[in-house]
Amino acid sequence: MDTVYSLFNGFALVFHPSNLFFCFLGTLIGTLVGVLPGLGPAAALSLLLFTTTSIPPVSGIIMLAGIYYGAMYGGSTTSILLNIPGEAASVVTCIDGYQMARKGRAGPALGISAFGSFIAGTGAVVGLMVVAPPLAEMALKFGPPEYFSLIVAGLTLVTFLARGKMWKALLMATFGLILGSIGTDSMMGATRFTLGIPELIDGIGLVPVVMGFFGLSEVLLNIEKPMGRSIFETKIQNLLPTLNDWAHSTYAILRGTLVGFFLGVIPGGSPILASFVSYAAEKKISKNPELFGTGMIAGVAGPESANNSACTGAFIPMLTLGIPSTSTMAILFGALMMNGMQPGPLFIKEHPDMFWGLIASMYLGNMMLLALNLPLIGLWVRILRVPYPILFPLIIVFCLVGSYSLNYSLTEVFIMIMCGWIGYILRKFEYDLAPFVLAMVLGPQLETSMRQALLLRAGDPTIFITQPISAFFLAVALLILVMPFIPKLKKKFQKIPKEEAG
Amino acid sequence: MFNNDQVSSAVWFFIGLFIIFVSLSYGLGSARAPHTGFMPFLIGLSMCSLAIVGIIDGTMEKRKGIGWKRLTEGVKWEKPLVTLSSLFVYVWVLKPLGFLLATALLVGFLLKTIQPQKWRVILFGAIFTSFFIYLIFQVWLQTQLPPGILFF
Repeated sequence: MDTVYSLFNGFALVFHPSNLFFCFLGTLIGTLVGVLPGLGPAAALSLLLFTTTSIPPVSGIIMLAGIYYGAMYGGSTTSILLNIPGEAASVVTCIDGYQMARKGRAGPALGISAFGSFIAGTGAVVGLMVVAPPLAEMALKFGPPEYFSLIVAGLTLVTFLARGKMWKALLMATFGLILGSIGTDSMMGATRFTLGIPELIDGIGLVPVVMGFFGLSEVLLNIEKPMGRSIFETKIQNLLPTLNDWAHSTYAILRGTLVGFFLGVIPGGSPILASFVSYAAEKKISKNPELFGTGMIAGVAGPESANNSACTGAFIPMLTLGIPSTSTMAILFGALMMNGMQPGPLFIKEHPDMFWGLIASMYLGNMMLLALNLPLIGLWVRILRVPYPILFPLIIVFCLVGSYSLNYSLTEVFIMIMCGWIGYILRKFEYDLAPFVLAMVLGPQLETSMRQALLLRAGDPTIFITQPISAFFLAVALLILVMPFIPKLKKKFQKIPKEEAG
Repeated sequence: MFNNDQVSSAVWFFIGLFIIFVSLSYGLGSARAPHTGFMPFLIGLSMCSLAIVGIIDGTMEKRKGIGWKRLTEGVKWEKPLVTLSSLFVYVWVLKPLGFLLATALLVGFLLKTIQPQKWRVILFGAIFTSFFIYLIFQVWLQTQLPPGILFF
């Protein structure tokens, strides 16, 4: 009963005209981000992170969340029409979606991906609503040692699932941890690594760092490559799938929803992983696996449902445990922190308006996305024709002004440019940026938990392995670290699809 | 000639060493009472250890014939360089010139140099982008953008 009452309160909050507007704006920007190749949800969120301090926090978070799940809807459009994924989670949609377009069935492909996304997105919101509160209650029993070990396990999982070599991902995590430690030590009051720059006394700002690493570095990588793109010329008609299409897609959507939700909850289990697992499952279950890759509608419905469901599922560890599972979630985590809200076990109790408002906005946002993606598909196709060479200066100016606007500091703009340059170099050397941002966000909490735990037991480090829950998390972390060295598992590990940084 | 992993790992190793030395100057304390440098010291140590793993991995790959891969291969590397340089200049001129003028000049420059556009596209892009961003930030979000020589 409490849940229903809280949800009604959430809806009452979302139906406030300003929240309704920001929910719509978020889904609109999200679809745009998904449609436009070369701009991922992490980059878009980093570009708009600063806005949460200028508008009411609830509206800001509703908008950022809308961008995240909205991007999953829009991503399929370019996959189907261009054979280029609008964002990484739609890579697998290219396989059968583009083939359907080539056969003149772009309409049903776009239609089923929108309907699948809607069903999965709404289903996952129900899951989030049911699972999050009891999980948060359970996490209330966690003390500093459990938190330390949980963060270690979460970071290890993310590095395990990061793109490229594991030692590189771990190095990126240490880099994130050291950047997170810049500023005043919260327990001793002394400053660290500030290099005499007053702006760094309170720590290095998340906004200039993520704008540089995700926004600017992505632009720099895009402009050095040829920037042309061609749209597959086809008439988009019959957006509503036929009964036969539904018969082939219904179970794929339901399976995709479940797979995506569970993978979304696991740290590192990104929407891209969910979409690949769903595609593999559909191919395995199908009576005609050999037809996959030739335009099977289940190959579009399953993965598109899975990536939407995973993206909603990823809110669970972030909101209840305070552990963001992807780089995009880490940026949302940062947005909550910037507005004085600490995600974790107490989040639902301390900020019920925010939590239930967010849930309600997701129900509404999914409906808005369905309306945006089906009747307005022609508009998105037209936007696809805007060339990147005209678009990128706008993204760059957003990065510059966004990093300036928080504290009116040119030092922060300079930090953003430096981070963009470092991010560009790191990507050239094939370092994945996802573990970096997660470690930077979680670093201060990791340090505080470790020091508090050591103080609790007068400096005895065995506290981390004598507490059962903490020992369990550390055992998980150790297992993950060892896995790539077991020959049988090594091959499977190499086959896991990885999350792109942007 | 070293390969990419060897070179990048070596850089990380020296960064790790630097972190260790700076952490020592902050004081490590003890496990009973960890000081300011305790955590950064552990991070620096981890960074050095991982960098050594990277150097070993890179060396093993080198033995398999994987050498230095040019980062500029097959790409127009001068475009990011020009863009970054123009951004540094933008930071330098933002306050004296003001937001509108500095931004219009930056956008115009990028549209002209990165993938040259027609003059009408450059002019429209420069004016539209700077006014669009001005409206969002200055008018809607109430951000105080530098007025510079245009006084608004």
